[in-house]
Amino acid sequence: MTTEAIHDSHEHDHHDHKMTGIKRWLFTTNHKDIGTMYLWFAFIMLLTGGALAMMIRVELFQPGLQFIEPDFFNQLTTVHGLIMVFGAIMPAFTGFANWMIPMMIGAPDMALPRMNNWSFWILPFAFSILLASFFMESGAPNFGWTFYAPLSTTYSNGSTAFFVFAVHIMGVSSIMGAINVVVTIMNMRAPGMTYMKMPLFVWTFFITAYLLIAVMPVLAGVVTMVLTDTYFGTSFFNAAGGGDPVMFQHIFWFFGHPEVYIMILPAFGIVSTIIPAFARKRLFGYSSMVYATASIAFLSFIVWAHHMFTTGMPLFGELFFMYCTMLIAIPTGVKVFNWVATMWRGSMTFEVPMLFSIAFVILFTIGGFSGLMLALTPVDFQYHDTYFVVAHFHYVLVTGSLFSIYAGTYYWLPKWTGNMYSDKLSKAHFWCSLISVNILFFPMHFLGLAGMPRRIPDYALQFADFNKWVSIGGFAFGLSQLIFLAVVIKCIRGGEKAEAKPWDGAEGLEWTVPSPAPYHTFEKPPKID
Amino acid sequence: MKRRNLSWLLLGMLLPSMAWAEKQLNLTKGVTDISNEVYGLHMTALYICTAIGVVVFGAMIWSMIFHRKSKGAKAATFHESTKVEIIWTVVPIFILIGMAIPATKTLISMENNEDSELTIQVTGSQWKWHYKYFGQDIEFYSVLSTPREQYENHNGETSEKGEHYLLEVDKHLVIPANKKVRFLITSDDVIHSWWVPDFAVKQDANPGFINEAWAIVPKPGIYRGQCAELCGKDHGFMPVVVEVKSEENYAIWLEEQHQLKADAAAAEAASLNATASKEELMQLGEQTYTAYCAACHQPTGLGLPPAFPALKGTPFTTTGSIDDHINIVVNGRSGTGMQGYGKQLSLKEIAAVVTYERNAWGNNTGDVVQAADVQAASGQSTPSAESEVVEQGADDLATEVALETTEDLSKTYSLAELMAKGEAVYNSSCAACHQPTGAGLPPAFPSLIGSPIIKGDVSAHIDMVLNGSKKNPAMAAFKATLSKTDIAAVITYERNAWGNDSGETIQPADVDAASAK
Repeated sequence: MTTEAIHDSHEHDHHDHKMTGIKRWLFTTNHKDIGTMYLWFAFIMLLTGGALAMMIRVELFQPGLQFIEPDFFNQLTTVHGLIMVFGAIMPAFTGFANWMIPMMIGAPDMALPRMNNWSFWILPFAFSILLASFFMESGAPNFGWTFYAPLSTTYSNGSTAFFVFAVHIMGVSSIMGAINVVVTIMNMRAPGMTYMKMPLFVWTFFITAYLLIAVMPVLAGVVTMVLTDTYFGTSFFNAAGGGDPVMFQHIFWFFGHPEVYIMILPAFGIVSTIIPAFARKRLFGYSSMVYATASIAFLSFIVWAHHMFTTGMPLFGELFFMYCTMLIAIPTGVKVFNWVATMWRGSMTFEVPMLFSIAFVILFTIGGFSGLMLALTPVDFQYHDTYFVVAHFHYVLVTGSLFSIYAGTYYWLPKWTGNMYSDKLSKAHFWCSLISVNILFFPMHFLGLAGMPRRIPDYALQFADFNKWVSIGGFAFGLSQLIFLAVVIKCIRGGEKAEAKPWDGAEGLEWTVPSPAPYHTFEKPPKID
Repeated sequence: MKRRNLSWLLLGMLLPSMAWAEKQLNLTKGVTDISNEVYGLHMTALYICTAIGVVVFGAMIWSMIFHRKSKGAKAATFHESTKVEIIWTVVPIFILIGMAIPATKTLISMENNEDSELTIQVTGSQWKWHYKYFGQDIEFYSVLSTPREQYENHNGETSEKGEHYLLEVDKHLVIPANKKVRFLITSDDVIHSWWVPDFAVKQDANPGFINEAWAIVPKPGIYRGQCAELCGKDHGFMPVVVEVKSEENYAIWLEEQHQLKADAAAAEAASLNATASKEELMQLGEQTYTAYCAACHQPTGLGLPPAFPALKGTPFTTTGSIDDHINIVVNGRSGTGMQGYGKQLSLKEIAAVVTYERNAWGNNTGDVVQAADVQAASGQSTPSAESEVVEQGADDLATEVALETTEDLSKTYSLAELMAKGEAVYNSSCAACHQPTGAGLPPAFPSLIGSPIIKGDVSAHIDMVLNGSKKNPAMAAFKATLSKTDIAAVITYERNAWGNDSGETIQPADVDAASAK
């Protein structure tokens, strides 16, 4: 297969001049262009979803309904969740996959470049449909990003069709992206790069892609059932017609739990690349990291019902899902210990990518601790659907996934743009984010333990003080992300020229090409010993 | 709290003025044995996580301080150690087992719903709770009682918020102390979740299914919780309030409730014969509207379209039929957020609210609706009114009653007679759903060909036609609309048509005997 890939790349030599203007981006099949578009799209969605979160925090700043009607509040929480999961985190990782996987395995491009173009360009349509529903008579989806039936079916506000079609398009895009990753990794590795010689980054994306291929069709199935229940008189989730609303949750979370690992495994890959680079020491326990990633992926399929302990499961079910969920702590622990062991007796420097990676390890671990507490069924009866859960998943998704995305961006930005970015400004971004994100999410633990439910537009008086601080943290965190925008724009426009390998401890094929990376790289595969 | 070191310290330094002592930082300990066990588990897990956090973060911080390049640290070359990796795989397994054992024990006792002394059915609906005491003939709705002006602050006006802001209801769920009370939890519409933190009870209310939970509360008092599952617009406004009374006080309360119920029935009967003035109805109507309707249809009558239509100046409340209007208020409109209020409001309140809706906000139809009109229009669907049917003499019901009394229940019909009559009744009353072929439209309308009801016991079949299905609301009760002879005929028809051929004949007397039970 490898020789075929070489052959292909030679043919492409004849027309490697790129188009100009908008056509370059519309018709591009170049993995770097597509990666760039994915990353920008994800950042725009991050700001959009963030704006919705700001509106939520404005309303929750003090008790009473001041600015927003409860129904609109539900629309905000729903679309915030959907945009952050499907619009910000997932496309950002696909952007990394596109940019870095071919360069890390010594391939000239992704294996299926035209499909790559299409999988990106359907995304803006999906999110336009979703966001357009805000301006329609029905309003946007208001049933939570988890769209539990029958709130999303019989009792929906008429936005269900838009929601379903938007999710279908996102799903098609993700599946195509994932197939591309799998095919590229399996067929286009440079000669001599065996599976166990691949960078861990490539391994985590490889496993994530399999998770996506396995569960996105399940999501497509469940949204279709919601669609037909709402508009075509079926009764999959309607008890009066012989259906079961709890079955919805089983199907949804069979998708939904692997989905959360889809959003964290690539983060493990990024952090496992950066920590060794700045500790100037090889990653500790490479093969155990690979096996831990694979174990987490496997376990993610048999723990879905821990989201549903209060739905009235039989005792046996509760015990099974509690034990399986607790088991996840073991491979996750192995990863954290390996990162610490990589840092141990290294020779560390603390550039911004390293700062974000260290913050990732600590704060993701705090999210992991609350996850372990949530796994204990009897205590979950108290935590479930409170702000404790909100704190937990924001610790793993914001200080976990999002921080790893920032770490990765700062790590490879010199390679992408050919320029170094402002050290001062990027450090300001890090410290502002680190402090504000903890003011934002840490008090949510206390709110949840004290009994504040999720998804409420107004709350009892004992929750007032913490909510005020959460809101202040939220505004500060939101504004801090504009510093990031400034760093990136300045870096694209110019700055100190970056060397081919600007980090002295970095390893990998991507650092063997010049900075900025030429439009086509590895047309002739490198030889790996 | 130690493991929250970094962020917590930072936060603490930033906010020195905050009075932490009054704030609840930790999980509610609660008042039951179970909630105390749960609290213990929570603390165990928290301490274990704190300890692991101290070790892991300690090692990280140590290496960040001492293994930095600026201090001249040279990188070591080790990058694997099977021994170390086995240790940090196996040690966590033992820690997890240590946590799983007490969790399993607590869970087993939480799931033991046996030997309860009192059972209460808890039904969630958008956006209130309904409580029904088994074997006591007591049931009531429990609705948020925080005044709207306390939480509707859109125009910048703020009114002083009460002590139990958003955690107070009009009627508390009252349970006795020191008894095992079992809650059967279900829903009328979407999924809700009934949560009382002090009992460590949180169970989802799923429409069409029943969940169980229980509590033995040793200490009398008032315990507050909230709906925990997103259930639509007013999810944040359906609190749970449980009042635990000592056994003696609970008995007194029960007595009071029975007395109140008798008074209400007497007032209901009196209201049927009384004619209320328009002013009186408008006043009562406004109160009722504000309490029950304004959340969705808004105090202005403008509603929140499209989910909650306007009532101001629409054909429905102005030129439309009064009977239709009453009917929707009493029975609701299926498939929408509009629920039936027949069970929650008295006839007079319904009359008043309909009068109010037809005259407020410039609708000015001049229509005045009396309690008797409500009963006439809604028929038997107002349960408390059933006994008054004959004296009241409402026209449509009277004819049915008359029809029933002229039947000769002792007459015996032949199979052929019953089949002929049964086919006619089937085509007019059943075929729309179960289809002329008997094949139905599954799953909502099951097939009658060889089905369990048709092949099974005749009495179950008679009961189904008389009283409707308890599981499937689509199957209506026919005892008020069909005569006993008609019911006998249609059951005979169903058991013999479409190849069912049971050869059974069911006589009016059989139906009469079954309906008398």
